[in-house]
Amino acid sequence: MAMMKVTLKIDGLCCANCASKIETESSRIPGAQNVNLTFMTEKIRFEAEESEVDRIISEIGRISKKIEGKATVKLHSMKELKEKA
Amino acid sequence: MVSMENTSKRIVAGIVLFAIGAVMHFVLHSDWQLQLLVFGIGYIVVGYDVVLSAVRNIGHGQVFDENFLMTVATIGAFILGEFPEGMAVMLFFQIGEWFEHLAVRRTRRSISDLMDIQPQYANLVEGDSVERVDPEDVSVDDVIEVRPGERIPLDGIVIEGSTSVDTKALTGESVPRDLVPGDAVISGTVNLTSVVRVRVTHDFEDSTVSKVLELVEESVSRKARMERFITRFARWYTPLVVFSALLVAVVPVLLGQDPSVWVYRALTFLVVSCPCALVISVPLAYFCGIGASSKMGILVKGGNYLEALSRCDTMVFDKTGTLTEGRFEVVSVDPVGYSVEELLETAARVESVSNHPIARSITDSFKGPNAGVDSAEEVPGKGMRAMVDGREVLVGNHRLMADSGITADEVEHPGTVVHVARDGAYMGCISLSDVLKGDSTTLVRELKDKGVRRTVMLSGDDRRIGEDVASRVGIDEARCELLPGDKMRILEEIMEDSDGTVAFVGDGMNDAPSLARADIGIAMGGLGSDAAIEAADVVVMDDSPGKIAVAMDISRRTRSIVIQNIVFALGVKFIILIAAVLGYANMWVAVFGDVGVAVLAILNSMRCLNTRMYRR
Repeated sequence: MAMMKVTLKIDGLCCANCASKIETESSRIPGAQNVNLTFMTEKIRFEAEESEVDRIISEIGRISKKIEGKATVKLHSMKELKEKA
Repeated sequence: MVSMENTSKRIVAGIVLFAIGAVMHFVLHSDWQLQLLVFGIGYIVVGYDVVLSAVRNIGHGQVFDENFLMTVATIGAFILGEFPEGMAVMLFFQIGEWFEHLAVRRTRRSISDLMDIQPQYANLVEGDSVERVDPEDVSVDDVIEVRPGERIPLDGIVIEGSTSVDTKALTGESVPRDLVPGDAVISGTVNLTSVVRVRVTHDFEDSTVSKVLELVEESVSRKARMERFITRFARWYTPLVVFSALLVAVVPVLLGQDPSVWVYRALTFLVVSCPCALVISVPLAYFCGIGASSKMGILVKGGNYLEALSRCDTMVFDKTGTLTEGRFEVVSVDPVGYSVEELLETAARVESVSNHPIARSITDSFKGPNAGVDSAEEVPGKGMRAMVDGREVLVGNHRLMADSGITADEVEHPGTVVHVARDGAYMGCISLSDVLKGDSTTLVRELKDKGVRRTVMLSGDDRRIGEDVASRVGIDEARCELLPGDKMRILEEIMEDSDGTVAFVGDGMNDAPSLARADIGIAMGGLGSDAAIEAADVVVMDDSPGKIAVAMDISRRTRSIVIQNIVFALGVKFIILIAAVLGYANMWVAVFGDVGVAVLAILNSMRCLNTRMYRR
């Protein structure tokens, strides 16, 4: 199974406090690792098994909607995580 | 984000309605119904979206949401009959938010300008034609053409034409670099003078420009301790203030005080309960600090490293490639009974077959034609033994001479001394010194000024060379004659001795393990070295050690701005809370304590982007 590193762009984030709430809640999604949201670049990154990526993205979308009603989430980039030797 | 133009129109409309209402309230003393009508319409125009979000968020169980708190505070004010305040708080809240967005947006833009090194296209050469393609579609060994003014899209080697390139976006260095065929070109730099053709050596994904961009993007995800602290703090702060507000509203009333006075004070609490000033401005400061560093040609891989740099109290340097250029220069040629030329030529002919840096320096310093040797062998750790025009020549250290029973001169030279003998007769010696990098000599003094207590230099070279360099640079301790494994062990010992943060500075080629092991690994000359970019936490893109001092400056300044913001924001909020309980602060003051403070803190953080004071 390939581990993927996914970056999502969140538009409509206007409160840094909400951003950190989205980060906290998203990091509790089962299967999502190293979840990290940066308010300044409006990007959220996480690592997950390839087969779980879609589920996690939609979950993050749901969390963002809940916390910041105007937020929209879209895929920015996704690539296979290279294991470091 | 709701369009800012729309918001600004609503704010203007709100100000007009508020002015009308204020005249009715303070001058005409109109009926309260009429006032409620004007302020109420104004309130809805200005703040309907806040109220809507609040309602929606309660549905999601988000109670301590900023929108909710503002809604409760303002509607509470209306219920208490304080119409002007109810509307004013909402109006100022929106104005403050508007400024906040503006500031955040401006910072985002200036940071993306800073990172604007992404090449948009490459001119791929195919036969006689040149085609404009996406840099990602170019493969290794393809030939691309780069015209003046264009950004070099991929790493490669110049095969045709010569030019100079501007490396400023990567190194912060404004002096252009000259390129001739055979030179390596780095993607992300800008071609200045003429057309060159370049054979591509790396795919776009592996090219310097992609690596650097990825690194900067990722750097923001490594958060400083201070950032984590603020996030945790924010989680407690809002509930705490809201709970206190509840106490303020209920307890005095139970004790028989006037409910309207205390409810008003409690509402004031709610207005200052959002920690946004800190939650935005602290990460922003680190972000801007990292941005400023990149502008100076220093890549910092995370807020945590930027923060740690300001606490660095011990700095361990690798000598070669870090403090010195890894190049020696001949400082004197002292023949005994021969001419300078003859001694130098003999040595240069023998050394021409060796790759040792000292041998190369001697070879380079002889300007005449070099006829080389008949045969040569290396004597490990001692020098070279060679046949030159049928005569046996020895070139090497004191021990090599001693082995053949030759008495060499004792030379008092702090660097390296190479002795030469021919057919058993001593010819003289050549003295060399390690060439220091340009600003090595001032670096250590600058670091001491910035709080680095201890500096150590590690070197595999001879003690005399090492101590010579250490004393010229001003380093406290020199540990010399080390084997590769020793460096790591000594670094670990130093880290154990130190209570503070230990940084290791190396060239990234041979020092990857030490760079990774130290609290902060700083790699020099990252431009063109994947290993350095990979292994280090901080990468100085060009070769100047002085950039380490610059990085520390940026780190210390960022830290002090963060502290200013924390003290200022919490201080103001705390004072307002106390004043509110005592009845000295009204909602007008409180709304300043919320959005006013946030805007000021953001503006303060943006100062971290300014790099003017680091240029020298």
